[in-house]
Amino acid sequence: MSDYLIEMRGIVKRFPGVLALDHVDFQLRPGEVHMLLGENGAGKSTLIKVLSGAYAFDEGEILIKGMKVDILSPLDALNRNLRFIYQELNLVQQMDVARNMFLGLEPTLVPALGIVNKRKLYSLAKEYLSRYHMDLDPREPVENLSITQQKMIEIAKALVAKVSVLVLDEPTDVLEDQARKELFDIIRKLKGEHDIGFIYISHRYAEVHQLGDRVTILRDGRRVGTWPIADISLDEIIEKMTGGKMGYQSPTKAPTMSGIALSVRDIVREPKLNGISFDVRKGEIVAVTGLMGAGKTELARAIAGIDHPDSGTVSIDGKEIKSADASDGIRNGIAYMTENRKAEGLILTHSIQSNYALPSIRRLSPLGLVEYRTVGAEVDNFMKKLQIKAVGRNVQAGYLSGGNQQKVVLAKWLGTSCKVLLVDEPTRGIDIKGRAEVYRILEELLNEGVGIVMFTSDYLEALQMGNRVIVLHRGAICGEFARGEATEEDILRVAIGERDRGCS
Amino acid sequence: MSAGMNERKAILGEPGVPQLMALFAILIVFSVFAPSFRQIATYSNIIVHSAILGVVACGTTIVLISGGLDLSVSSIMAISTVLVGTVLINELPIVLAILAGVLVGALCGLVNGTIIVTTGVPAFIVTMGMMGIAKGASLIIGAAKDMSIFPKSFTVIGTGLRWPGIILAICVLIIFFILWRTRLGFNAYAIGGNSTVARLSGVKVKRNQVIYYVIGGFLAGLAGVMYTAKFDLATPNTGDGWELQAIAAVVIGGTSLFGGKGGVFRTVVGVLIIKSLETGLIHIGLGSFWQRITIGIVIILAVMTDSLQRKSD
Repeated sequence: MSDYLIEMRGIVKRFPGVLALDHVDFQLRPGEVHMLLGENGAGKSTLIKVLSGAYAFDEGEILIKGMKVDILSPLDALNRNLRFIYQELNLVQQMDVARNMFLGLEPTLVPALGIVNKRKLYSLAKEYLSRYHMDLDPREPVENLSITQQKMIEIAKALVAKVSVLVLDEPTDVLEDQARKELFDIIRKLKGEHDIGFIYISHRYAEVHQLGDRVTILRDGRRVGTWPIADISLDEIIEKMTGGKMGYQSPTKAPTMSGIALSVRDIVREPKLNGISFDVRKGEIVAVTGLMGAGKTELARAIAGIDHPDSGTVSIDGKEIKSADASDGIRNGIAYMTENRKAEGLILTHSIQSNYALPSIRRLSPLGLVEYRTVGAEVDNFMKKLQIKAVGRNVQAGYLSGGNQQKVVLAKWLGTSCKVLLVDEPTRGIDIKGRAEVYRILEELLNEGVGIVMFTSDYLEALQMGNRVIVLHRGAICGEFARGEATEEDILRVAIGERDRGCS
Repeated sequence: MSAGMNERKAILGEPGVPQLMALFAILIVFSVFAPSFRQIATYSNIIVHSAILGVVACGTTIVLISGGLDLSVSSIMAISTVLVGTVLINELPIVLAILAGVLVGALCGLVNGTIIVTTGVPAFIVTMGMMGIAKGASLIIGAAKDMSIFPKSFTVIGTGLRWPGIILAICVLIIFFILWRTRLGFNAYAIGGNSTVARLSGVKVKRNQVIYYVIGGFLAGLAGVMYTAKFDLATPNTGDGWELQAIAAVVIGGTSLFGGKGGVFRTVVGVLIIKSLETGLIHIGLGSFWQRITIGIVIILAVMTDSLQRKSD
């Protein structure tokens, strides 16, 4: 018997023109939480997809409990008791907790007829939930549950069948702090009680030492090394991931220009927005933060003209604008970079060039005919300026790494020559290097006199980037801090409604 | 200039090389096994038979690229036909007959598009409803009338290779130009690719979608005019089953059934594949039942390829 649950030896995976994995070794022990870290494009996801059977690898071998195995399809991986939990939720919203947990594995009365034994289903579900310390009602429809609770059900679902390895790919990216702690508690209990091995991928480096037992770092498709968590500090991890290329912080300067770029007055949109007013000066970046559901995205959409407020006004350069839809906002100089890059920001199956041209298409086709030469020249220019890494402008956006995709979204909105840029969670799911680059681009825009509103649930990001930080609580502004005036804790207190600084 | 080529490739996708190879393979196989197939007349007949379906499929191409679907083109052909016939047997000008045919088509498209974008009822249902409405209307208009023996100056536009070929070529080139160079075409790909992204990027999605349905309806109306001229007959039975043939041609050609990708030259190849198969099967002695089976298989294969490609994307 081997000491390892999983052993991947010398895995090589080639994509056309790219060596995605270059002889990568990886071992997972039973009962450990193994953090898998690396920048976007380092090969984490590729390695996991090889393990899950989604990708065939070119060289190397995989051993499970010392036995060489072939994992040719996701079904093979399931049959070998490997379970994968991805960032996105994969539950049937209309069904209840128990039905979701046992989907496809329902206990039956008469097996041949497939008639579900409901009593057993619910009693089993209850038993599992309490075994894993999850306080949920098996009969609750999933759609009534919070994101956190749904995430827990995903884990419970993975554990219903026999499981020896659980892979979590950025599971906490959508979770609030409290929920994250609950998830960690569950993972700690599971690894102690059931000898399951966890592979855990995250971009939140604070989690590494809270949760991990060992850490493996990948860079450019190669394994940099594996360390027990106690032997490596956060600074060392970051250095090894980046190759020491990039600093962690990117503070912005005080605004250099005067004049109001954006003025928001008394925006009301029941039930999410209850009268919000604030100004953004030219060259200023205002961070808007708050808990999930506080109204950040709703506010951004109302300003951008996508959703109509019940009352209130939005002014650009002192001129009040009326928006029927996003096109009016864009024409008046508002650009809105949505939080959901893949569903709302980019057409993944289309080229960088097509994505770039989309919001500027009126300008780029003055007589109704698209001037592709101009488009091409502009795209090339932005790809150079923003350092978008791709073979050319005709590469499909879906093939790019998260950081590069986000830069394409930025380029697309910069092409509109906007006066106000609304960015919603601009660095979610993006590695350190990508983050620093996004920040750098935003700073350049500030120098050009653009007013930026950054909607973010990352308090640290709000504090680092914002000239001012506005904290929303239940659709109202409940706190405003100048740069350097607040800590993460201060923001959290306002965000959870504990400290009321005069909600507007 | 190579930049121009690249843009075109980026927007319209790679030329449908597998489809072209399939077309040549079909032609070669039939030419080898059926001596009667091996004649210039047969090949030119295939083009003659392709012209009307080609015109319909041009419209279907732009509708499908924009993520829409139009099942009513067959009935639009029928109502166009009976209107054209009615105008002609009343000895009104030919121009008026042609206008009546294409405008009723455009009107049906306008109604389709408007209902789809304003109510949110799926295109499948709305255009299926229109299929019934237009069919019923054409049966009422064309009931118990034997509309035939039209002026020669009219029937010439559907007869032989010259005029149908010219009309098809013009339609293909216009649709190609729209897709290749115009904002309208750019938006079609964007809306079909991801309509939410397009809307949030300021594209007037609904207005554009209506235009695509109008184009689709207009071309179906035009096909109805050509059909009337070709067979010198105006009957409400015109066009039965053509909506599926048109969709089949577009999809076999390699335009995605799910929107966002494709091109009109591919559609021409798709039409030629269908018509070559039909003609070839007759030449080796297999009748229309076998045609249906064969084309059914080809459609499934084509969509299968499309789906597999999507997965690998």
